[in-house]
Order: sequence, then C-alpha cells, then structure tokens
Amino acid sequence: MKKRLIILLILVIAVPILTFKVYSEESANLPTVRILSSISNIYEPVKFDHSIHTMYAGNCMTCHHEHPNNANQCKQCHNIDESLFKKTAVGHFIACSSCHAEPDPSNPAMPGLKVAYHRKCFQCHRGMGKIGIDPKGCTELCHAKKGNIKKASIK
Amino acid sequence: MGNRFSRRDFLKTTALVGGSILAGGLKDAFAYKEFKGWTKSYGMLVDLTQCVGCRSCEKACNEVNNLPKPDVPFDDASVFEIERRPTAKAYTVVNRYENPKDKGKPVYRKIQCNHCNEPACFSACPIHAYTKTPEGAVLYDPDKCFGCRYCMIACPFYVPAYDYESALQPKIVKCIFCYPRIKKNMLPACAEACPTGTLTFGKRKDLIKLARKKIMENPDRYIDHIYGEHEVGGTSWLYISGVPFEHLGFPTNLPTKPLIEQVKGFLGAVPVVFTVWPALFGMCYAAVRHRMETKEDKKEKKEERK
Amino acid sequence: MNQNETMDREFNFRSWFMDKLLMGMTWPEYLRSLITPFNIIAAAILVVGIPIIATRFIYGLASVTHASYEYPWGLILGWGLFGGVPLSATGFVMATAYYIFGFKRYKPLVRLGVLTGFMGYFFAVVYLLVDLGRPWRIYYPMFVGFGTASVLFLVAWHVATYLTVQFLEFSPAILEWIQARRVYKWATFITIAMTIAGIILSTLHQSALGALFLLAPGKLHPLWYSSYIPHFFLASSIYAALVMVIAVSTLCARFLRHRADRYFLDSLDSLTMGLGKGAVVAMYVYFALKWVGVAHDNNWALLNTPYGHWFLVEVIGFVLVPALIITLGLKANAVPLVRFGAFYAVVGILVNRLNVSIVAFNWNLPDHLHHIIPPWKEVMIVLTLVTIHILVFRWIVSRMPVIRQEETIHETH
Repeated sequence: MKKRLIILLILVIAVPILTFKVYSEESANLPTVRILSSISNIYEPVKFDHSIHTMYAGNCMTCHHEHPNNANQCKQCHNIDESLFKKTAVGHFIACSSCHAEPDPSNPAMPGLKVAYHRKCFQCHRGMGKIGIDPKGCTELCHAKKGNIKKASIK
Repeated sequence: MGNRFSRRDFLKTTALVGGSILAGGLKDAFAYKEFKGWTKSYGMLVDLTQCVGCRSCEKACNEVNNLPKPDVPFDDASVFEIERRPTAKAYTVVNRYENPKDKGKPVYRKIQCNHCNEPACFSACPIHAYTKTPEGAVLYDPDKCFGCRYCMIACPFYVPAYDYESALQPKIVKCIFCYPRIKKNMLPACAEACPTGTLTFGKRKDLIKLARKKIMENPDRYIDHIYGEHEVGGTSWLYISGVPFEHLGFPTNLPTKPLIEQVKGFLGAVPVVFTVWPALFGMCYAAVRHRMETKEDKKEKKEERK
Repeated sequence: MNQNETMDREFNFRSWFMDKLLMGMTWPEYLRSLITPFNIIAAAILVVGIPIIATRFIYGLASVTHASYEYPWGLILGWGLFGGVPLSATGFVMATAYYIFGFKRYKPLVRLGVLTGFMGYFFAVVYLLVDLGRPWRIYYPMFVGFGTASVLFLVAWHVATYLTVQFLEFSPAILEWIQARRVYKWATFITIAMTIAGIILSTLHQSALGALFLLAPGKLHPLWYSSYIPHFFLASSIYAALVMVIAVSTLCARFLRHRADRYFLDSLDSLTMGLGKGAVVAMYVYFALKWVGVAHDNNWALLNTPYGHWFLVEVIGFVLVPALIITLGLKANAVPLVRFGAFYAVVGILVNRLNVSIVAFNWNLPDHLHHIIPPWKEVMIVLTLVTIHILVFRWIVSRMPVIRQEETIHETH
C-alpha cells in the first residue's frame, strides 16, 4: 500500500515537471494533435495527442529513434534529408512517415508505416482493455469502426 | 532429383549448350549439375511475439481470394476457444495458445501453407498438379487433380484441405501465397493487412538474416530457432517465437531433409528392377526348361535302347 | 438369308446362352437356383449398400465418410487398396512358380491364383474409383500429367498395366469358355512374357504401396515407419499370396465343389501342404525382417508403450502365431490346421495393412483412436463391394474353366 502511494506521489509530482521541461524546450515546434487517417475508409481517423503521450512516456525516444549526440551525420547511414529535423520540436526527431512508408519487400528490415505505428502503440497498449486479447479490442480504444463512434475510455 | 525440375533442366541445358557454343567455353557445362532450390524466392517471416490475434490477415485473405463467408465473424474472439486449421473455406486461420511466460499475453499463431522449398505435396502428386514457382509459391491446379488426396497424406503440416462436399468438382484448397499479387509486385494480402509487423514479406534469404539479427539482438525475447529454415528442407514461410514451437502446434518431429529424400532410394530401385528382373527370371525360365528338355531327351534315349 | 437360317442362329444363340451363362439351366430353373441363404443375405446387403454408393456420387464424399482433412484416406482405401492388393499377389506368385520356376504340380491352382489376383486388382480399382474425388479422371496419370517423382504415379501405372497383364493371363480361361481357338493359341504364346512383366510390376507396386508412406515420416508411428517399409510390404505380399490361395481354394472346394473337377479336388490337400511350406518360410523371413526394422531404427524403447504393445500383437499375434500353427499342421500332416493357419494369416495381412494406413497413421494427433472409427455408411460401402466381389468371383468360377479343365482345348496345351 505504502509503495503504491509513493509511486503515485512521484507520478503526481514528476509528470507535470517532466512535461513542463519537455514543453519548455520544445516551445518552438510543439508536437500537437495529429490525425492519422490513412485507412479512414474503414475506421474513423485516430486522433493522436502528442502531449498526452509524451506525458506518459516521459520522453520522445520511447517512440522516435534517437541517436546519441556524438553520432555521425545521418547521411552516413540513412538516406534522409537532415533539414527535416530542423523543423521539428527538439531538432532530433522527425515524423515517422518521413522514412516509414509502404513496406518494401527488398528491404524487409524496414517496417512499413502502419507497422511502425502499431509497434509503438503496442508497447504500452497491448493488454489494455481487450487489446491483444480480442479483435474487438482494436475498435474499442483507437479505431472506431466507421459510422460507429463509440470509444470506450481507458481504465 | 530425377525429373522433378525436368523442364527447367531442359531449358538450362539448352541454354548452357547454346551459351557455351556461343561463348566458346565449356566451364559451365562441366560443372556438377545440382539444383539448389530457387535462390531468389520470396518468403514470409512470421514473428509470433508480435501477433495480437486481430485476425486482419484472415479477413484480408478471405476478401482477396473471394472465399466464402467465415463461420465466425472476423472480429469475434470466441473462435479462439477451439484450435482451428485451414479448411476448404479458409486458406489461413489464427489460433491462440497460452503463453507460459506471461498468462496475460497469449501467443497467437497463423497457420497456412508454408510453401516448402521442395514440397512433399508436389512430390506426392501423380499428375503434377502442383508447381513450385521461382517466386516461392506452391500452386495447385484443380484442372489436373483427380482427387486421390495423397498430397494431404504427404503434407507434414496438415495444410491442404479438400472440399468433400462437392460431388462434381471437389478440389484441394490451400494458400497460394497470393501469387497473382506477388507477380504484380504487391504484398500478399495477409502481410499487407497485418498491422503489427508479425508478417514480413521479402526475399527468403534476407528474411533469414533478419530473423537471425532479431534473435541475436533480443535473446530474451526469442528462442534460438528459426522454424522453417531447415524443417523438411526449408520452407518459404519462416517463424520466430518466444515460446518453444511444440507448444504452438508446430510439428517438431520432422527431418531437415526434403521429404522426397525419404523416397529417392525406392525410386532409384525402379529402373534396376525393370532391367534386371527380365534377365534374371528369363534365365530361370530358360534353365528350368533346359532341365526338363534334357530329362525328356534321356527318357527318349532310354526308350530307344529298349 | 432365309428364315430357316435366322431361326437356326437364334436357336444356337439361345442354347449357347443357356449353356454358357445359365449353366445349362432354363431361366425359371436358374432363377430358382439363386434362392439360397447366402444370396438372400447378399441381396439384403446390396439393397442397403448400392444406394449408399449412389449417395457418394450424387452428394460427394462428405455424405458417406468423415470427410476429414487430417485423415484423407479411410477404410475404403485402407481395406480395398492396401488390404486388397497384397492378397491379390496370388496371380503373380502362382504364375511365377508354375511358368518360371517350373512347379508343374501346382497347375490346378494356377488359374485360381490368377483369377483371384485379377479380381483383387480389379476391385482395388473399384474401391479407388469410389474414393477418388473425380474418378472419371482416373486415366490422368497416364495421359495428362506425369508426376514421375511420385510413388503413387508408379502405383497408378503399375496397377493399370498389371490389371491388363492379369487379364491377358486369365484370358485363356475366357477363350476356352467361349471356345475361341485361334486367339487362345496366341494368348498362351505370350504367357511367359506376361508372367515376367507381372513379376516386375508386382514387386514394384507391392513395395510401392508401402513406399507411399515414406513421404510421411512425421505422421506414421516410428514402429511402422521404417526405411524398410517397401521390403515389408513386398515380403508380406508373397506369403499373403500363398495363404490366400490356400484360403480361396478351400472356399472353392467347400462351396463350389460341383464346379471343380477330380484333378483339382484330389490334388488339393497335397498342394495345400506344399503352399503351406512355402508360406511358412516366407512368414518367418518376414517376421525376422520386422525385427531388423525395429533394430535398424533402434525403436526398442517404443515397444513398451501402448502402440508398442499393439505392434507386438500384430507381429507376434498375427504373424508368428499363424506361422507356428501352419508349421504344426505341416509337422502333424494335418491339412485342416494348415488351412486354419492360412485363414489366420490372411487376417494378419489385413491387420498389418490397416495398421499402417489407419491405426498408426496420425497416431500423435489428439483423439486419434476416436477419429479412425469409420462411419457406418463407409463400412456399408466396403461390405457392399466385398459382396459384389464375391458374387462376381463366384459367377466366373461357376462358368469358366478355373477349378476344372475344359476337355476340348487343354489337350493342345
């Protein structure tokens, strides 16, 4: 019981502080709510709120790749335009879709965009509600079926 | 290998002879003739640690291949209560197994044709209704099939299904690796639909490297085995798992050689029987006859003497 | 053509018909002769069974079998093909013994052996036609696609050619029956060639039936799965032929006695002893070979498992015991004991073939023993075909010179 209380206390104090810290650093290009709608023909678009997620995750690296500061220049390993980074929050991260696109059989190690998204979501969401246990779990939390907008709230 | 790849061998030989005449070199023609499988074939890496049992693959497969409506809707988890298998109505199904590591996260396994490198169904078929395409897909032609179902006996994975219901046009039903889509440089429907990255489509040899890398980088997450790399001579579909494969309904008593190897010794004896037997038994007949004739001769001589 | 001639011909045809087909009886006499207890039971089976066979062709295999994906081959093939073919090795074994090795003493049994073989193969094909998904394509392995790496391709070709060979081997009996002298001479001329062809085809497809299962190492129980399985099938088919000839000749002498001649009946006991001697040697060889198989794969540990016990029942209870019974009969010069042992050994062959194709196949699947119980309609189909088999066999033996010699022609032979 005591342990729980302590954890809760830490969360209550630490999360706003961390959030504030991140936010203050990113004031220029604050990641905001993104609407993910690539399969909106089947499902209602997913509203992805960066602020909530960074709050829970405590950082960006949980979802975005990041290299240590002393890493080589991007171009030595990736085929990425470095200028993309400058437009973003802390200058380290870019949108998933900048690299993850349609899956390419000639490069199977690179997940497609859909897979990249879901893998990140499942890090935490698998096991929440019925996600990962019942196919209906998917529609419960994130993907409302088209014309049937009834999102269950997370516990 | 017998005549198994005879057409290809023929083309290869023709090309070789033609080529060597043109190039003036016989190096290739002298090389040991050995078929090592289709080296550029595609495959599918199934990472069973990723699957969440959403059945999107089942649904996509059903739609793309115009299969009949499923018995249980695709978003109904009650299907997992019994272990299913591919049927005459479904190329693929997903089953749920208990996870010994974590009871809250069951393991799901998709079953479909594994598209063996040297398929037992192909070896079994007396009419050549099966083909192993260079792309990796094992295809079946119902126009040739007479319904002996020996392929079902032979398949080590219990994959081919048969529509026994039909009196006039019964046929084998199994996954076709979305061959028409692969030909159009599209992903197989299941791989395209899979949201979790359980299914990764690519060249088989790249997938093996990827699977090795995954296992090496996450030794706690995976057991150190790529199912399908060596089983029955290798399959186009490869699996990596966090749980031993025998817990997930995979047959684990299979040889690493292609199953046709089990039969080659017998098939090799056939021409011997065809050539040696007539000589052997013809001689027996001649010997017996000769003995009888000499006996008769002796009898006659005796009678003459009298 | 004047009227007289036509009438003459009609009369000739009628007398030929009565003589050959009604066995010298008039229609009413013939029909009355058909009313026997056996025929009544047979008729009852056919009345139930033939509609079931019709159901299979109208509504598909699912209407009569389990229609299982894991168990694509059931009782129809297990009994009809895998059980029927070794018991039909009679033709090749008897013809080889008589024509090639010069066992002239066995002449009275050669035709019976050839007919048993021919009928056995013919009905094996009938069972196959019932079980095939699209039986009208039965000729496909010969004309449409050549699966040369397939053992079943081999079986298909060999059974088809061997059926033809056996027909030719038996044709002298048919030709004598219809008294076609010229063709008869030609037919006897090719006998030796046909016999040797029969040896080739038989050794290959008897063993091939076993080799079919070589492709399923993960499914067949290790005690039955062996690289020796083609040898087991071939070796057991040879003694199967010998005991089957004893069994069939016994039945003929008992139930078709009036169709047999003295030559057949008088020599039967001594010939039975001779066949018994051959059979018993082959049975001990086969028994030893089975243990070589166990030793080769080092499967000793499996013997003390439930399937191991069943294996022992098969190998000891259905091979060694009948062999000992026949040996005892030979030693005591007791023909009935030899005959009993022969019937027992025939059952043993069926037990072995059903074990390989049904009992030990898929042994590791859950609820296996529950799945292999055939539905009653499938059993009824088998029973119906067995009945038809017996009726056709009886029809032929009753009419053609099989267990008797036709006086007019055999002089020339």
